[in-house]
Amino acid sequence: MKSVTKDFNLDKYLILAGVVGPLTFFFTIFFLFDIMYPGYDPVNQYISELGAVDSPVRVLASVFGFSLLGVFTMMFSYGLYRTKELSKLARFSALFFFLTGVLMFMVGVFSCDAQCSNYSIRGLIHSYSSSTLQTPIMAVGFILFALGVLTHKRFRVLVPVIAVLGGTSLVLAYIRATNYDLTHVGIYQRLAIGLPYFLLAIIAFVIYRVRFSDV
Amino acid sequence: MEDKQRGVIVLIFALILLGVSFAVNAFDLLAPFGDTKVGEGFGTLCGSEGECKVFCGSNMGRCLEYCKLNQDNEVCNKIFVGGLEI
Repeated sequence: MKSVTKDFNLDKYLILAGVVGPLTFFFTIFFLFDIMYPGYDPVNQYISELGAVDSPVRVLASVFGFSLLGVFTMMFSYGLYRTKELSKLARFSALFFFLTGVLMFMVGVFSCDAQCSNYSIRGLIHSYSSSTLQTPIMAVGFILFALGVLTHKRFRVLVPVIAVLGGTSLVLAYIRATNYDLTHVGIYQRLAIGLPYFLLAIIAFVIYRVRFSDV
Repeated sequence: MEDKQRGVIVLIFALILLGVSFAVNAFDLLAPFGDTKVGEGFGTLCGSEGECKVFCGSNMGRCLEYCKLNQDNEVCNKIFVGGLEI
């Protein structure tokens, strides 16, 4: 007779957080909160403006957009660290994803100034917590993970995906950071931030499939 | 420690973090750090009139943008003599 209650597997939920987090973020920040903010132009405005001090959806965007993604990313990094099938180097990359999660959480806590023209201390911390620090730290995480799974029979399929999506997002982040008067900045930023989190979701999904497809 | 216990700890940790984020945003707990007129210059861009003159020499766009948003800043009126065309 089969047992009614299955054993609780924490790793399963921690790895799933890496899929659920970015998907929730895309739905809320790229769609839901945009339409809840009258006059908001996603093509020409930063996503941070959704959580800015003068935004009507500030609390929603900060808590259920940015901070929630940060928490989910931290949870995923813990699951990645606990994945015994991975090499030490790939598990070490979890530290960088954890830091990325902490920074994304801080993006939600330290709102940007009105219109995201950051001149206050809070606004400055917001700037550094967002793409300034997050992009390079996340990039290191992806590189370490890719190197760590290069020889792994089931995970090495992720290496070309990381190279293409990671490389593209780095180029976009560079273009955005070096062009002060960039037109359609909203599109660039959504791609520069969306692609690495999409990549994170793909990695989490593949790990989930490999580890738990037989469960 | 069992998975269930770890799971509960992770969940509590996550809820505390989200609670902190909610409290900070809903009650504007970090408002004291949100003053764009911090210091004697242009917020976090530069700290004094002299420093701002040097800074704005090579960062005119950023200074103009700051002054457009902070028109009551006295340093703006001193540096951009005659006022800004806004």
